[in-house]
Amino acid sequence: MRLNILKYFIVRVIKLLPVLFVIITLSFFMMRLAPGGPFDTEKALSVEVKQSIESLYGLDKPVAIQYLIYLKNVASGDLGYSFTYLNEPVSKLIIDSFKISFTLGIIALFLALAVGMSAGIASALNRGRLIDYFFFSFTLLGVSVPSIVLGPFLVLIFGIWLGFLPVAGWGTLSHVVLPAVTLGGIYMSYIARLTRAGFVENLDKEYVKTASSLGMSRKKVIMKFVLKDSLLPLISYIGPAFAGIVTGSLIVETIFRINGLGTYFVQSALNRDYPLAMGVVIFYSAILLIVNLICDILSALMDPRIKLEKN
Amino acid sequence: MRRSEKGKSLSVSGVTSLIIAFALIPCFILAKQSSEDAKKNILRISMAVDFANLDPAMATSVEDADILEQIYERLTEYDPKTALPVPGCAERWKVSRDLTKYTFYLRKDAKWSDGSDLKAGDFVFAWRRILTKKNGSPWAYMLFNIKNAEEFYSGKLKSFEKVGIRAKNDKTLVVSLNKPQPYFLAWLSHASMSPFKYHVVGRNLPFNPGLILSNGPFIMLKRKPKESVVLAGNRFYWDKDNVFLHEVHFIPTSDENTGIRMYETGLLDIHAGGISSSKYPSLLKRNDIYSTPYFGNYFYRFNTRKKPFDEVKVRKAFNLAIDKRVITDKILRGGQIPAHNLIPPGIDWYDTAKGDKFDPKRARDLLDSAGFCVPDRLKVTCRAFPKVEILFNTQTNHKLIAQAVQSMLKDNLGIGSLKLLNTDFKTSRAKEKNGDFFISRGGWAGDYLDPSTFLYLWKSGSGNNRTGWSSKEYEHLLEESDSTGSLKKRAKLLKRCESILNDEAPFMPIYFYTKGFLKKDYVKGYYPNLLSKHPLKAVHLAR
Repeated sequence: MRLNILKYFIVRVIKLLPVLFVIITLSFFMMRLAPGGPFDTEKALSVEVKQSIESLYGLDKPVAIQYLIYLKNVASGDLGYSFTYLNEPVSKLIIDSFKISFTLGIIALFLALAVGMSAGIASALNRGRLIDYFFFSFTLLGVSVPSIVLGPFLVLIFGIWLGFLPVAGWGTLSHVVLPAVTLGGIYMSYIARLTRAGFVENLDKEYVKTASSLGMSRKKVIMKFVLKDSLLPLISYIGPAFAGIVTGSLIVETIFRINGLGTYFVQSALNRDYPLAMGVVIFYSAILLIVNLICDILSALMDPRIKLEKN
Repeated sequence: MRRSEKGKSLSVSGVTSLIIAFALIPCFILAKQSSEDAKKNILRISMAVDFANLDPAMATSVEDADILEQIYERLTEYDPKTALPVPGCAERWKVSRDLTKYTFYLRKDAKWSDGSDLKAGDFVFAWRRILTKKNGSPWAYMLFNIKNAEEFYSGKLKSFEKVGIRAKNDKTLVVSLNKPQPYFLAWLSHASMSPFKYHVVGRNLPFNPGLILSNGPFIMLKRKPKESVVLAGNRFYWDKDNVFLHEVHFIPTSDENTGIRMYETGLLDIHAGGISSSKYPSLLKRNDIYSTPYFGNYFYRFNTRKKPFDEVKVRKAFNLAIDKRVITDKILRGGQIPAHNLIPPGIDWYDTAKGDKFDPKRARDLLDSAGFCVPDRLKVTCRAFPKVEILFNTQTNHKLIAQAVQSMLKDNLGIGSLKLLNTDFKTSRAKEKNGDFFISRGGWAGDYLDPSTFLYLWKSGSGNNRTGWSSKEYEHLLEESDSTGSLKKRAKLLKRCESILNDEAPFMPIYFYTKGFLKKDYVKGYYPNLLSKHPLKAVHLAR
């Protein structure tokens, strides 16, 4: 079984390469199709100056040639230099900001999982009671309040009125709290609702009743059967959510002035910073594909009915 | 029975642990921000856009210039209060009688940050970098009035020897111009005119901190994209005894409100990263806000190559139908000035040419005489106004202004066929460049304190014109103004140029910018001025 999984994993990783290739190709040409170029500013450059800048960055060659050069460079692990930041390699920009986004994302996700799952389980076990309604309204609020509202609201309370948490920045543990809660908030609510739904569904199943009637304690039934089965939908949700949360959020990073990957995502595209935009797309796709793969394997491990594809 | 009790206890424990967890989070982290920065004489200042390119020959953004101005010292420097040119590393200068030859005498004690002498040749080297075509400097055109500079740039002249930039000796620089350039000294304060010298080991990576040689009051300690640029005092600076700050931290805050919150909680000493118009009304009541006129104009370009804006009457009618005061007072709310002409007020020797003010009746008359249907006027034959668009890039204020213009045109001229087209900046720039627009939002901030920085915009060859409008008379007058030595005569000529623009209306001025910043009371020596130039050399913190 274990060997099979390893083999399956390797085969799937190899199969990811053509997917990545398609993503690179599509985004390369889509990027070039977008009107305007990296050196268009409010102040117009003379034709001559623009030509010399473009030849400096290799943009004077035909797009097909540029594409081949780019593919060759990517294959050798070279993502090039940013067009906006002078002398900054794209890989360094991505790795530096990913470290921050990853730290923040993991903390936010753990927070979301811990609080969301507890709330979901508590609601499910107290279906129709006050506590259920309390969490229901709470999660409804969490799903519907966007981070662009939640962030400044938390900053106002904890950063300005109470004044014990910094309003922005990065570096110490105190800097993490507000952005992590803001970022995790929406996931927290989704997780709570998914957990509750899974629990409610499984609590009524025949095997739970059978186990209880056979004298197994409720705690044991929940821990042993219900929990495991109820988490399956959660796992398929966590996969993409994980990729999204660790690659940063433009809004949270802007509100809290955090040097994460999310801002590059949007800014590089708006600035037509081709190398940086491409680098971010490749990086994000790779993470998304790998995380999805891991989730597939996890689901198969937890539910014997899900079969890993035979190769 | 037993079952429900268990259930209850489980949920209760879950809830209590939740509450405890929530309560603990803030308790854990009661760590206050360190106040060490205050003791160390560090100035923390926000900027709206991150640094990008810190090569003086290449940098174009305002933020990059702000940083470069501190680490390099040019021949002339901005006066902190007026932004007019004062001696920088040139102790004094001499101008020939025909106003075409400038001799600059560098300070004997001016040095680079590695202790080596600042030489006149370092300016020759820097300007030659700008004039070398393959380096792609966007500032080359600004040096084209120097003798033979354009010829060298275009490749007609191979040797740099004949270009009018010469180091007579180590401390004397001679610059020869083709014709007088009245704003030449003002232009020399610009960041791109900095001297340049490579570090012994830094030719390949000259812009990495530690490898940048500075001759200004500060050196660059470190820089990190989206985090900060940190400058520290330059111990080889000739006037280091009069530099008070130990460090300067430039902190990019892409969100204006985040910057304001950081300022409020003491994480910034100056918030210069912009103030949104929704914040202005409450902030303007305070005494730590500075919102003063800025040398910039916000306007709409008309595409004069496209119908119906090929007709002057239509362009003028549009201009007359817009009440710009409503835009400044109800939308912008930061003390902006309604604009009826091109050049912002504030240059003492120049009296601007007054343009048309809001006059809906005259606007209707003009549109009527152009043959278009105007409400309340019965006419047998009139043309319905065609479908046109206002093109603008994504930003809250651009949108609000475009909506206001749209509704004023509807109310005052009965034009209902005007649509708004919102795109990202690069797309709108590309559309503008290709002439694929009717009306397009634009703006211009003066590069130096002189009307010409605005008037050159509308020359026919200028890449910044983009309206398709041109006038021989205009260009002739502009040329004439360049070669006159008399300030009075020049002001007159420039004013005539501006009047032509008022008459022909290739663009519609909307408002003159203001620059707003928040500054703590203990920051001394940082003043608002028309160019928003802030030499940090003389800034000190009196806490």
